[in-house]
Amino acid sequence: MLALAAQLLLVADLSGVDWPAYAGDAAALHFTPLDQINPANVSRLQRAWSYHIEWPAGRNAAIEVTPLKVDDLVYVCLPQNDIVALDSDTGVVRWKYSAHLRSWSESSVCRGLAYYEAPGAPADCPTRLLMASVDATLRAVDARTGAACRSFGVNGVVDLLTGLGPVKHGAYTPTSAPTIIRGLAVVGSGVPDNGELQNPSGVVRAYDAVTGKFAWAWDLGRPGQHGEPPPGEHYTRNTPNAWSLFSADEALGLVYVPTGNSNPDYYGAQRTRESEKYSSSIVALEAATGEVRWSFQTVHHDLWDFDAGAQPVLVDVPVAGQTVPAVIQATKTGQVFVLDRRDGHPLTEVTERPVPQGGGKGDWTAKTQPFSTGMPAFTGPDLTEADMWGLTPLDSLWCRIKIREARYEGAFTPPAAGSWIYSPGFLGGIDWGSVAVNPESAVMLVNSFVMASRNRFVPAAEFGGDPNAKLPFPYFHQEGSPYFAVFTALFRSPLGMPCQRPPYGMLSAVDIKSHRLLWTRPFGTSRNAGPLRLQLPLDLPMGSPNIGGSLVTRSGLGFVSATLDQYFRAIDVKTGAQLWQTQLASAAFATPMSYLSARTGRQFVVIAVGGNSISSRAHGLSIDAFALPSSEVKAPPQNPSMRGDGPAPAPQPFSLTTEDPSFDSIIAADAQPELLGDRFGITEGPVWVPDAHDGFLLVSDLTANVIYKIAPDHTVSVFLDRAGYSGSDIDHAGTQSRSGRVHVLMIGPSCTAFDAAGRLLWCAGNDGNIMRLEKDGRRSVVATGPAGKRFNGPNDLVVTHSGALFFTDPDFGLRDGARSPLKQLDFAAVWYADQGGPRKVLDARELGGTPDGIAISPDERFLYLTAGPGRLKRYAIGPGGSLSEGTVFAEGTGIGDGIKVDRAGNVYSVSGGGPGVVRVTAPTGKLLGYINLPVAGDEPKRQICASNLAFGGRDGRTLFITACQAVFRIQLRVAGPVATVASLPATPPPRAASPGP
Amino acid sequence: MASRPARSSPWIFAIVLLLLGIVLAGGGIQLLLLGGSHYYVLTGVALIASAALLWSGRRAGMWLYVLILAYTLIWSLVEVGLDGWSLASRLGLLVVLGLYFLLPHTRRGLA
Repeated sequence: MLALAAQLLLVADLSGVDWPAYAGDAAALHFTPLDQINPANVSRLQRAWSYHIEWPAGRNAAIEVTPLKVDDLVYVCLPQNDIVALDSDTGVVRWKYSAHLRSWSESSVCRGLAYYEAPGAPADCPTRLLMASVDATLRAVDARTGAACRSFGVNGVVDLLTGLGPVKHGAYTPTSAPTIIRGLAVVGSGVPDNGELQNPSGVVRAYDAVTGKFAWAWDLGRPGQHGEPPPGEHYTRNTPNAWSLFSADEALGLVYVPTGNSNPDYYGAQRTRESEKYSSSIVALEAATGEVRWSFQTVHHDLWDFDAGAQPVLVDVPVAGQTVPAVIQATKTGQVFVLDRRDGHPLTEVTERPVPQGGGKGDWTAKTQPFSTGMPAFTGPDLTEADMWGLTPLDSLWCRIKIREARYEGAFTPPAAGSWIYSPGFLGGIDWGSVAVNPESAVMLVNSFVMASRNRFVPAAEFGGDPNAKLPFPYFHQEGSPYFAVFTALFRSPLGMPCQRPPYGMLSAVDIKSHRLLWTRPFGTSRNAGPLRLQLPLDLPMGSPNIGGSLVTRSGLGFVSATLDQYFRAIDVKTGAQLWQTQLASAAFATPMSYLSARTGRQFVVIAVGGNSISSRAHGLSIDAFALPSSEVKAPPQNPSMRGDGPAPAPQPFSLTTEDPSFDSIIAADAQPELLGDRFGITEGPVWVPDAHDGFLLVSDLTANVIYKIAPDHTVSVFLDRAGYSGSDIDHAGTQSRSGRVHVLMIGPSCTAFDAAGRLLWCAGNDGNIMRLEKDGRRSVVATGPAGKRFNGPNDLVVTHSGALFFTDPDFGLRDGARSPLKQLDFAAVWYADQGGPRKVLDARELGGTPDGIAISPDERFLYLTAGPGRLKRYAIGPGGSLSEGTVFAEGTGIGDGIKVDRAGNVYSVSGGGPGVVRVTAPTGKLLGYINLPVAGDEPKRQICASNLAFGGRDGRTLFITACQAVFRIQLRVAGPVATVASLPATPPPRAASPGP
Repeated sequence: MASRPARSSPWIFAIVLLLLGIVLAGGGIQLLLLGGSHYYVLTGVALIASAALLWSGRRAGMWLYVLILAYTLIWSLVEVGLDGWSLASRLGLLVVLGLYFLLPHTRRGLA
């Protein structure tokens, strides 16, 4: 029932409810139109939920992700490219996708995901997440279930190594979210800095977001050629790589790509003409072809690792009385360029200024560099000896000597024979966190970081003359230059303190219309920035080093963390005043996002916590969500629109998908389903009742609140009424959903079974009980919750040979789930009930997903559990129903609701909502095949799903499938267990109405 | 500097100042040769002198230290004005060490 309920939930169509792209949308504004959290109430913000990221203790991870949120799920990618879908109200895991990468390392990064709704509602992955993974793949995953999209590439994976030629291990590691434009997913690359001339190409490629089919490539070394290289050739090696996040203008059909520079970073005599033209630039590519429409270079002949890392921000600005579509490109040099995004010409003054000349042996220096003189700059002051700093006169003396020894002439100090210093250093300025823009007030929030780099070229003699010496950090080979290696580090004293005086981090606001700096102030404190990596809890206003971006809200707030001091802050964008802060467990080198839960009407602000190797040792990696106390949040927004009200999908016939030859021994290739009944509400809980004649089927109906009997002649009668809910509080009971074109309330029972004595059991979900039908027709309660409390809503049930029960008790059967006033248990769990009454044997948190379907292996050694959509887990059953050794048994399509096991131990699982799919998995976990129920199609829209299963018929070889509005049966070649039913009251008396609880 | 400290002189403190003075004077010469500030070499030499006086148990060592502090304060204000972080970096260590002279025991040990 879960997947169905989740898919069909009512969702208010208010902008800002979802956060469907890395920076909010393709314009990358980092802006939310939500205003529930505002300057007046932000001080009462509190942690609403936290998702703990599992990671080896004490080991650093690079957590830089900005989650997405669509409908009721928050999507997070982890460094090893696993994806978790979290409940947007509670942070509880709803499903998890394991990427099983061919390679990754502890320094791997996943900054984010792309979300895409496929047109025409295809059966496979109608909504999907796209991810560029560090093992050089582009992946597509079903956004509802976490299953790999079978229609995309090969089993949901496109190999990005295609066309690159030989690639060294770990030399191609994309880290940023794909950009969606006009049905294409555009991906950049990720190649190591410095290193070798034989680095893979920095090619930018586009793939069909539905099929994964290659669309075009922009390889700047092969101008005019946008296809894949023919066999034997490859994309041009060592071209500037576009590792950061792109943005896109759907109307103009342009995707905006910030570029890096060619290797090595500090020497450029050998760079090609094309690399020179497009390095450290913003390049506008045509979405249709991959052709360059325009480009703008932010640094000429980059010798400083000043790659354009900031995601371009698309905003319309007034220029001379007209509104002009603009793109804002911030840079590591602390410049902010404002360009016309149609043709790339500057909208604010840009001046080419002469810069110091020099460079390595045989290299050259650009005569001038572009300065955005029409906009405030965040470059910081030029350094003098008097700016040298330290904890004591001793280390500041060291810094004074170093800056006197080195060549230093500002941000564009060229590489020199001895050492050279430039500021801002290689960390920016403004890096991938970019800037946040409120498009309504045209105010831009900028967090910047200024700390000098100190570099020197290193001869091989320092490493014993071995040209292949493995170099320690921060030494890097400079292949292709006359130099063996370069030493490049932030300019810090031997005590680890910065050599220049504070502040290092600044937070500023700029009026884009008037180009004026509204305010600027030191950003962050000295906490955790002590000498020798000491984590001193000292909050002096030092202006902290910071990595990551900010979020601005319509209500005038700025949210930003990014600092070493581990605070997450809310700022009044108008004045710069800090209105709220909270201490995080680790640094958050990530950009916050915000969304509104349609279920509870609560606005959340979410930040990924974990920092990276530059921050202090991580004390916990998590996704933290903040919101106002629920008591302050008004009712959910009015006038919700119904999801899925569009036209019906195209009809699709019944089919079988064979994934393993042995599927043929399960079901004949020409087997056809037979429609046993139709036009029900939403059917569930089927069970076969053998009798002296042909036997019959019982099925429950979630909307009608009854259990039906379907006789051999297909006549349908009510067997039990008021079976799932016996009360009358319809304001709170049941979950709202949609079935076909009808919006319904689901209050009926979702399971049926027979106990060891042959008596009918069923889940009276909204009464919070397991019920039994006695031989005289009376109904009795078999199991109710502990300590006089009700269960949340028993969902599915399995009976052991000895007569004990295992059942699942999730809370999604209640209106508003966890927030329902009918909810009396504060957890969801799996329960075991024998003579001794019910015992909790597994908490939903241990399961890692909401419990739903449940089944037992024929030898009763294993229990199978649906752990949220797309994930099936298996536990060993111990004495007294105890469960241990939980493992993921199967993942993917056709998992999400009921489960049954045949006599041979094969596991049959169903998809829940969406197109009905039955998945058959061998006891070994091997996928055998799928039974794909027909898609009804055509108006008036009908809902054919697959919610649960039963074995039956004379020999147990008939599989019954409850399919929402329909019930099917299909002949198998194997038999499943069928209960022995002593006798069943022919027509139990109707139940008298009773008042609700 | 006598080979043995005078009786009851703050000789450990004198050694600390001596080491600090040697490093500042040595680095200060290097900095001066690179065209940098003369503050460090001057202060280094003055600290060595102060250390020698203290070693001998002479109160003049304390007054010389006070002079160094005053010089440092003036130099800092000239170089960086009222920038708190920059003043703290220049004055912090010398002020903290100077607190040692406020101890009655130290003052008693000086003639």
